[in-house]
Amino acid sequence: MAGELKLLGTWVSPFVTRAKLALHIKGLSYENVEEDLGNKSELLVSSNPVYKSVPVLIHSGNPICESSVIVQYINDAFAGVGPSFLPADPYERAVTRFWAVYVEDKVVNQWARVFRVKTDEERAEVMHQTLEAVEVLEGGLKECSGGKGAFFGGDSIGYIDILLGGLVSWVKATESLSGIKLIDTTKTPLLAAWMEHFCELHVAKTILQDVNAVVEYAKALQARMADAAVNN
Amino acid sequence: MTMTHPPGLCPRSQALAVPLIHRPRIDNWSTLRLLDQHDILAHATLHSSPIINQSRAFLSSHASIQSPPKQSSSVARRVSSWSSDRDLAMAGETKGELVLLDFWVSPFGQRCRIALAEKGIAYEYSEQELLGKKSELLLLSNPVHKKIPVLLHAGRPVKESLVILNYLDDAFLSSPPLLPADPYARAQARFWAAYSDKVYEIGTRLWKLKGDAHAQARKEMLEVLGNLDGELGEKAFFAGDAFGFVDVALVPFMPWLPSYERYGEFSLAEVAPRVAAWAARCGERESVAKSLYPAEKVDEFITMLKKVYGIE
Repeated sequence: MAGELKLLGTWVSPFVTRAKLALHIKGLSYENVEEDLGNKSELLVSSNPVYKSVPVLIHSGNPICESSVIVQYINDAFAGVGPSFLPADPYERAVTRFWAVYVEDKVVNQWARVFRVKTDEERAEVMHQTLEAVEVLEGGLKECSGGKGAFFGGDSIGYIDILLGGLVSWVKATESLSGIKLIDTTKTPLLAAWMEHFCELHVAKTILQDVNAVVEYAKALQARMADAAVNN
Repeated sequence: MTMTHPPGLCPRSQALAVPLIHRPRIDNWSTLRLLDQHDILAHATLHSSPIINQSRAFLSSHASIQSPPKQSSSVARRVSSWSSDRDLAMAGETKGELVLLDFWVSPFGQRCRIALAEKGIAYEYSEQELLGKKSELLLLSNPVHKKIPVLLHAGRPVKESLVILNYLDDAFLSSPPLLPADPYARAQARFWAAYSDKVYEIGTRLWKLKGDAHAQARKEMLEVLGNLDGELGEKAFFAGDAFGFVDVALVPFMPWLPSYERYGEFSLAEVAPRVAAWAARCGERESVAKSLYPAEKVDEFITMLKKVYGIE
């Protein structure tokens, strides 16, 4: 399906990283537009009027929003190109989709709250829930991989690997910043192995954000939030 | 806690998606279709587990309380012709038993019921006890969330309502698809179906919370309904002329709207007039009319939940 691809995003966003991973796996070239979320472009606002957030994939002028929708779109629109992100079997597909929802609702959305809650107590509670969810996800990895390989997609990466892959640099940055291991070798050995194998892939080495850069970004963000709290 | 509210009868249809008694083993699923309440009471005598006894007692009280609304003969004729069309559609369609673990008023369960009806797929409906002790089958089928809906296909569980809808499209290829074929249209459908979840999430905050949190919920509800109205535009359904994925995802929340309107002090007709018209249009469809309960029943349910949660 010919037509130019443009990705509106920010280098640090794990959700944008998901889209980049998907595009790279399919071998697709695209124009990467770095947005300033403090000063959103007209294109971003008009392409994503509901959320006004990144990533937005624009294909032949048509915008697609929400990272999981974008990844699925790339899989659908470029079905004949490169590997498929989803299993062929309908039931296995449903199992994959179930765990993708779990990653989003229980892991990602919980973890995102860490950056929004105000007290240390709340932060600890949210982190605790996130860690519990990661332990459940260990079971999901076992179910999805079916013993065929280290990835959710088995011996090759698929939909969930992409969704989770976008977060890897932030997982590592979190450990560096707070000492908290979101993916702990003793508690979640399969996920720990998953992360190791994922990071060895060419696509990961090419696309994933530099962990130190993410750490610096997070520190600056924390400082800004602390300032705002003091001044309010 | 036993379910104290019998399922309501949707005004438009006579045959109702009345909860069937779940039977762990049965010989021949392929001729299953939605049964009317007499068949259910007959089947109820075959089993005697505690859940069944409760459900049986509940159904007999339902049968005696319930007096169906004015039944015109044309309604009865339409319903019976639908049943036979359904049988034809299902011949050869069912590839192994389908059981839907569900809860009568759940809009997420209703998404599945509507989808199955639209696609002409036969299944057994199994009402689950959610407020009291959950069944072993539910706990085994969905150990992660212990929630309905769960669609069991030849014993294998499919969980999450939108995942179930996707699955039905994937596994039942000769049935009318819910999702459009075009990749871009599919992406739009996925986006807006996920977005529709917000109506329920925000609505729940509207009846649960007070003060600032309530005001925030009201603000978000108006925004979400406005966005949905804008997306629908002048189209008959979200994807255009055909009833599909987004419509199935959103319509089960419509009987909840009158309650949300009251708690949120707004009017759907004012905030999202096209959505209001669309809801009425969807309600004309057999699949929707048979699957949804009247707003009054939903409101009673919310009132009961408030008592359970100790909310004023």
